[in-house]
Amino acid sequence: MAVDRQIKIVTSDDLDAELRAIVNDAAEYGERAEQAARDAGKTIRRFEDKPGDVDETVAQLRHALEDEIQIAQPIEGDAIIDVGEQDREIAKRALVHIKLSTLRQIAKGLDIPHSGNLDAVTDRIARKLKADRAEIARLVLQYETEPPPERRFTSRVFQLWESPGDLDALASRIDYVLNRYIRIGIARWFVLENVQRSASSLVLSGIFRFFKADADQSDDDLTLRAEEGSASAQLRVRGNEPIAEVQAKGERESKAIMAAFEGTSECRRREALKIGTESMRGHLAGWDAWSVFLVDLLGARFRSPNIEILNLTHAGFRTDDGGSEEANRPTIKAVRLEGRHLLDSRAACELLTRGQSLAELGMTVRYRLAPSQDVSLPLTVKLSKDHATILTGFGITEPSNALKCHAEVVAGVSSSLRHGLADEVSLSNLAREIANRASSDEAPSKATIFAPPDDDGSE
Amino acid sequence: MARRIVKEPADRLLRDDLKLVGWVQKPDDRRRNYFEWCDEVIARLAAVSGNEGPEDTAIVRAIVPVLQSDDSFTDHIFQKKGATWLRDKDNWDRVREIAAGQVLYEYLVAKEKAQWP
Repeated sequence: MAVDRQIKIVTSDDLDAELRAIVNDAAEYGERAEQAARDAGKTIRRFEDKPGDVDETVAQLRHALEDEIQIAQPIEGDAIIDVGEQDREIAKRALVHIKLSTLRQIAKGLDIPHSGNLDAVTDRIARKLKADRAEIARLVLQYETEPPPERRFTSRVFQLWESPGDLDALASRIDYVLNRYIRIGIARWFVLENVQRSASSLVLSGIFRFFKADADQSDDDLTLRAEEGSASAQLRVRGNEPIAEVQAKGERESKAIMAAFEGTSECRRREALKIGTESMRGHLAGWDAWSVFLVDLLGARFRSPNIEILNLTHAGFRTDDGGSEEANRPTIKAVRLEGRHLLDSRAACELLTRGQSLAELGMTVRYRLAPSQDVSLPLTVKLSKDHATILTGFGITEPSNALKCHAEVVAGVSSSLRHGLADEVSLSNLAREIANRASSDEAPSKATIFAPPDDDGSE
Repeated sequence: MARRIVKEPADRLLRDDLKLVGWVQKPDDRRRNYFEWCDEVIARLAAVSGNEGPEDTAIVRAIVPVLQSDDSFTDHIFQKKGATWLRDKDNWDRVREIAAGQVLYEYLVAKEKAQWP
């Protein structure tokens, strides 16, 4: 057969011919084995219609060899790629949005092997589900921990030096420049489009417009190439709260509307988050303020009776290298941990107790919509220098349901940024457990510090 | 020590439940037949892939059709699990793959101990 061993490329026709010969020869060996058993005095029943035909066996053998050789398939009409292979690869590409550890759990649930790399595990799942697009999409929406911007709500909470105070006066100031644009940076503008006043808050909305520009040379002509972009943003303030909540997909448009708001009001954002954790004692004494803030929020379930933490899936730490400026000294500026129930891991507990700064937490939460109706949603909370970011994925529920959960988390984060810690007693207990875990020699067999709630049977 | 082929705990439980280790280990002409096929198919898969040692997954897949046509194997499973269990095609696929994995393991052990060929 025409096999090039150097580059291991073989046409599918040649490969299938050889594999078919192998399967047929194998069948002969099977018959001989059976005869050997009979010759040894065994009584053996005859079984007709046993599942498994030659085509299926050849296909399975070909699949098993796909990692070792490149199979050159014939072009399939206009579609070019074999439709079955294309559908399966599309399904696998979508499944890549789910973390490998979660994919292994899904494979276990489907009663198929869960070992191997990302390609192997996604391949088995796609084959088991026959690349059913609806079923694959349901898995992606249910299990992705960091949904893309179009499948999540994103809010950023900024602290202001002072509360806005008189919202009527503020509305008048903004109204003065409504439907006008203001320049907020090089080739960057914000168009103030609307202001809405309610009993307790004021909502400003508009469009961030920007250009990317660069020199362009084609033949002998020199010119500038400009690429225009835009993104919407919305900002909410309340009269007696020194907080601005921005809802926008990206950080650029969030900061743009903040700049526009600062330009049209007397409000100013704090350049660095002020977190009321200065007087921590006991096990919390050595903790970083951001860690205290996030673990407190987590322990208090974002100050909401409707939210339960099902699983902590990722945590981002900013590490402190002692401020050395030595150019040759190796430094690590961030550590990202991924897994399941990861704040129960000794590695995470050690980072917390060593005073490293917990800057991001990703998790799956259960949100109670009604007494007998729960939804699971991916949630991430991040701290940056001058704001906190809350990202709530849609999961497999209506976006309007995810929005309710998102609003409660945003309110909880805002409240902690205004008033300080939510539950110092619980936090202190958590800190003690975390300290014990950090100094323990044994790896935990199950999550106990941030244990998932017992399943109460709803949804 | 020969590498483990049947890795999943659930598969190992089923293997033990079906007493497949004893079925493969019994030193008779039937076993000799399976080991001869292992010799042959490893060489043929090596020729196809250009790798001297083909992946275990591929070898296991190439042992499965031997089991498919060997009614002494099917009879063994039938005696352990009965007709109802064998009505599910997924059970056939799974048990053949586990048995093929066990055949390969015993073959590698026999090679390692210089008991084969």
